[in-house]
Amino acid sequence: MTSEPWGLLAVAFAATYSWRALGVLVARRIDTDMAIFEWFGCVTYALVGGLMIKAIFFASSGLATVPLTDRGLAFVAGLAVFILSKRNIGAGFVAGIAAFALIAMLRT
Amino acid sequence: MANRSTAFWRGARDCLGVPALAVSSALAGYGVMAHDNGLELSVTVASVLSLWGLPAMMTYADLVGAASGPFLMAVTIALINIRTLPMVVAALPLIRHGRQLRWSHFVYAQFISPTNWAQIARMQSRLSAAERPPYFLGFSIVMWIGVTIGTVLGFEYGAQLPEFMVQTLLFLTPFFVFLMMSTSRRRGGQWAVAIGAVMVPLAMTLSPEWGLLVGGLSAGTIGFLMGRQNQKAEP
Repeated sequence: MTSEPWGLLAVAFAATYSWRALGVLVARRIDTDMAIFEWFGCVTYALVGGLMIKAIFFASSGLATVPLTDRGLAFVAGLAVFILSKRNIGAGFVAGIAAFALIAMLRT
Repeated sequence: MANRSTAFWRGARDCLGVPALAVSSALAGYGVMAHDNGLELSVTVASVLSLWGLPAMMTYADLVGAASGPFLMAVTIALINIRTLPMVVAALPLIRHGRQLRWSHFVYAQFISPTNWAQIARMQSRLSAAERPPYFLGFSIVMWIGVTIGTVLGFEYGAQLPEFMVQTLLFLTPFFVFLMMSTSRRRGGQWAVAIGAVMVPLAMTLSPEWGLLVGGLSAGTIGFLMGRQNQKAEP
C-alpha cells in the first residue's frame, strides 16, 4: 500500500534540501554548540534510533518472519562488539551482520 | 588545470574500495526494504539521490509504505535532517575554493554526507585548495554510482537471493543506521538514542500517526535535559 510516492518524495526533498541550502548560506556563521542545535540533534538521535529499533523489532513485513530471538541475538552481538571496540562502527556492523546471517542461515 | 583533473580521478579512485562497498551494501538493503514497502524502482533510486541520507530514506520508505500524508512527511523529514545543516556548515569550508558564495556551493551541499565529509577532512592537508572541489566531486560521484548500483541490485534481485541473505539485507540497513545514531560523543545524544529506542516504538504502537513525532520529541528533550544535567555535574 503506497500513497503518491513521487509527491511525497518532492515534499521530503524540499524538507531536506532546505537545511542544506540554509547550511550554505550560514556556513561559518553557525555555532554548532548552541543549545537549540544540540536539542535538535537529540531529537534526531531519539527519533531515528527509535525508528530503526521499530524497523528491526516491530517489523510489519520482511523481517517479521524472522524469530524475535534471532533478531535480538544478532542485535545484542553487534552492539556488544560496537561498545567493546570503543564504538567502532565497522567492527559492530560486521559482527551484527555476520551474527544475523549465521543465525538466519542455520535457521533456514 | 591538469591538477584539477588529477584530483578528480584521485577522489574517484579513493572511493572505489571500502567506502563505495560499505555504502552500496547498506543501499542494497534499502533497495530490498523499498521494494518490500511497495515502492517502484524509479522512485526508489530518486529517493536515494535526492534525500541522500539513510535515516531520511528509510523514514521516507516507511511513511510511504504506511500511507502517511505530506504534512507528517515534511515535519518528520525536516526534523530528521536538521542535522544536515551543521554538517554542511562544517564541510563546505573544507570543499569550496574561496569564500565568495557560488552556485556550485549549492551543488556541493547536495553531495555532502558523513562519509565524504570525513574523507575530505582526512585529505585536507594533502590537497591544495584548488584540488579539493574536484577531489570531493570525484569521490562523491563514485559514491552516487555505487549507491545507485547497490540500490538497483537490492531492489531487482533481492527477491532471487536465498531467504537468509534477503533477511540479512533487511536487517543490515536499520542496524547500520542505529549504530550511526549511537556514535554521538555528547551525553545528550547518547541518552536520547537510548531513551528513543524504547519510547519511540512504544509511542508508535499507541499512536501510529503521531507516535513517531511525539515519542521522538519527548525522548530527545529528555535526553537533551539529562545531557545538560551531566555536563553540569562533570568538572
